[in-house]
Amino acid sequence: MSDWLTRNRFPGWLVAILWLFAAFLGFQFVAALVALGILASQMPFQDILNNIQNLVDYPHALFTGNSTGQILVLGLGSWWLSRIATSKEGRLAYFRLTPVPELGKTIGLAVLLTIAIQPIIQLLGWLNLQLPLPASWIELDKMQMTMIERLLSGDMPLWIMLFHVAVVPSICEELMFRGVILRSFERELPPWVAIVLTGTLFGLYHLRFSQALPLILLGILITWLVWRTGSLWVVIAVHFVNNAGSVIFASFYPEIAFDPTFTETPPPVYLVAAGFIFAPAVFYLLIKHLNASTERSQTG
Amino acid sequence: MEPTEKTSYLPYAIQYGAVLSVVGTVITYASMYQFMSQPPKGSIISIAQLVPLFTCLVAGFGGMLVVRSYAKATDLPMKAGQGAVIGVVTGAIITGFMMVLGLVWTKLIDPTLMARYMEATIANFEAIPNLPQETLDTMIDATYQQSIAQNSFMGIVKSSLMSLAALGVINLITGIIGVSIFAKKEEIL
Repeated sequence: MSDWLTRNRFPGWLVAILWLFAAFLGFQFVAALVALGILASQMPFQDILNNIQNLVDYPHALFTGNSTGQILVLGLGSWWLSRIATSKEGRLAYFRLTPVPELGKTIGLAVLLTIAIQPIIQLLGWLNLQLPLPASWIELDKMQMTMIERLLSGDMPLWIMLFHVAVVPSICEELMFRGVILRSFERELPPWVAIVLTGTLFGLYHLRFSQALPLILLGILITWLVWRTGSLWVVIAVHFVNNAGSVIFASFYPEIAFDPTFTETPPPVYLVAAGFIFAPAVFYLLIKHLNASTERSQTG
Repeated sequence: MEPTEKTSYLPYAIQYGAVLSVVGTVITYASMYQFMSQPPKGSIISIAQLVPLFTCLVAGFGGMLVVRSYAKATDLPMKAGQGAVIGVVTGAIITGFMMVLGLVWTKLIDPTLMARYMEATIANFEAIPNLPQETLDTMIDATYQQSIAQNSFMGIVKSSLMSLAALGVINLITGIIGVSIFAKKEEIL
């Protein structure tokens, strides 16, 4: 028997867009509610209203709200929503969480690819900054960076920072984007269109328009990885390493990570050249490994 | 027309979309002119500010009306998902028409309308009795900033996207309701 969406002729693209929209609103609502609840337990409500412009000074409350919103809406919401797209038994396969052969090596190569592509990401980030953007977008971006800087430069233990910035997004965002949204687009669209659309929406969803190009490239790469490897575990690992790497780097070298000239100047030529050499090389190794792995599992 | 599954709902969506967007635009601008023609009343919320909600409600029936006409024309059983798609597309068409009509009116026919409307809004705030000067200044400043933001290119894009989201969701719901009311039920053998 087909699933509820097919029986009721709901097109995948509509489900993807609606869930993106609903999850965005739901996430904002839950995150704001939790953050305000935490602040209300620490100070009179009138003080919160008076300091509404300075909420970045309370990164703990904001990040707790952010993680709660991600877990409840993006993660659990996507898990719950999959009920209408598949059966209870088919849920793990729907999210591509079932075991795949040689997962360890695949994760290793995918992570290596993510590291090798970093100079290209940095170059795209710099190119993005050269584009004329509205002042309000740049302000929004600066506010997010200030919030992250306050969190990382505070007295919060590293493992809590990793939980907020790396663990929660790598699981919840993957369940939503590479789970529900990619699967929904895949219902009617050719795979490459579904991959590009999902990756682009992932990049834009972060609302960091001065870093939209690198985020979109990363989004497309991660979406392709999940489609090609058939495993969400691979991209959860990649997403975790990418975010955790930034947190660890910023914790140990804050003067470099939060120096505006770090993003405003182009990366060194030798680093970009290394990226353009190593990234295709690792990509080739990954493809070779995946082809060999498929062959071995078919013959063996 | 021979009723077949190939019959497109688009002509119906365009027809109803055009009619509802004209109705919505006329109601919106008529309420603005009416607000400006009256002496300042000193009320915090004016009718003109509430009219967009009413317009949204009127335009929200587009999905249901298109489903009704399409179901009548094809006489085929329909599912909720088809009603949802018809509703979203109708919402997008209404938004598109309303944006074009709004731009034509405020940029070509009456280019000073928005500035006059802002002045009338500020005059209305100034007429509110016992309002502290500081609060009044904040309200005037916010109105002025909002007016600048709304008339910029990004402001138009932003308000169109918000309108698309609102009308898309409302019409999606009325489209699904329309299927359950007007569409032929599938015969269970």
